Amino acid sequence: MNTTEAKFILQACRPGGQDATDPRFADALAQARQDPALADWFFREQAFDAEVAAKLRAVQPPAELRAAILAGARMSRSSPWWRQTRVMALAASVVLVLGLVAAWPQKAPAIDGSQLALGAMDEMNSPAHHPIVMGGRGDLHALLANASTRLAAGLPLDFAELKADGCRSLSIGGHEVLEVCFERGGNDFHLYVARANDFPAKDSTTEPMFMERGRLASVSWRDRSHAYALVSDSGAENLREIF
Amino acid sequence: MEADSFTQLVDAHYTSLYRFALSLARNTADACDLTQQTFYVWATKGHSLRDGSKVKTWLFTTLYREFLRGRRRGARTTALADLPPGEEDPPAAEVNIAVQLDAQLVVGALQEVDEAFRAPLTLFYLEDMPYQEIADMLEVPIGTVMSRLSRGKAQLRTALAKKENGQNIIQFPNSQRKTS
Repeated sequence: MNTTEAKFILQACRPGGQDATDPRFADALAQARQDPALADWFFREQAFDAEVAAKLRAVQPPAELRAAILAGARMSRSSPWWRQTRVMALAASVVLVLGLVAAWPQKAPAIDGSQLALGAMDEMNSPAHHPIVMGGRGDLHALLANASTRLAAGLPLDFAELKADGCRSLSIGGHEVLEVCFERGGNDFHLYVARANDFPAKDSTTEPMFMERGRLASVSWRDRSHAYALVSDSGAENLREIF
Repeated sequence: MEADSFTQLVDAHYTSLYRFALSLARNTADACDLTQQTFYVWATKGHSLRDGSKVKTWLFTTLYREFLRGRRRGARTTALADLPPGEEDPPAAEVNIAVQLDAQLVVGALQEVDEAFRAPLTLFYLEDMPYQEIADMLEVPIGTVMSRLSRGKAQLRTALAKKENGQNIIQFPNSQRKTS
């Protein structure tokens, strides 16, 4: 083995020492022990690799990544979520969402809003979910029930006030979410309101995101202070109309 | 597998997977998506893996395949033959360059390495997997992994040197500029 061949092998020897006993490296390592120039080259190569490896290890994932990965697991508490057919339904709904969003004129998907919407739909599907209950601010209900109100135009609400008014509170992904139920045109709608910071957008988009899962349809969107998900079992068209 | 086990799995591997994804995808958002997608795939298919010792390799392989799948939808890949050759006799590495640059610049240099070499090079520096598993994952012989590693390192050294030169250029604030 000449020096060039030895270098080719030694440059693949990782600085952590896990390759030291690998027979593929044995001859080249033995040669380095006998050749001072090669040993010096190898020493510097290892030092360089150790430094680059340390720099790579210094990179930390964004703080919200772990929570985002685990969010799906949290949303289905009753049994292992990855063995449920619901997961397949979720995958199908994601495909459908992409289609709906693509069809939505000049709109782009608000990716993170999906977590609130999925959690809301999951909650509505759970046995613990109640039938429609009117609670909280009467003027907000009147506004929401008004046929001319379009939710995309903005809602005059404040999370703290809504909570103080007795709206139903639940937890989605470990974050507090308030639910406001209302009727319009004979259909029931459930508006889920969360603090915007609890469901941060991955980018600065505020565009709405439509989803369907089984009998439920949802639209999620956000403004400066709040993240919203509107869920109904009256169909996506009704949802679009009201939104 | 219970939810706690899934959490342990995530905790054990998501950081390394994210670092690998970041080197491949070159931006934080795509790296997060790739990492999340990997665990979603695990959630739907991972239970079919019977050998628990292969979980890490399975996750890295899945992430890499998800990356390649996304790449196929986008820009064309560069043929290996079009890429510059490796160094015949590699020079001694300039350790100081790597020492002086911060982690972000080093990762930035790693991201400039051609895609074909970037995956083996990043896996080399992550030091998480045996060579045989890296070779299996990339679906090439170990000799090819080493060859790509050699060429990747040459590119990394060049990229680091450029970054160091850029760092050494001192920009004078506008207020200190003088006109005569």
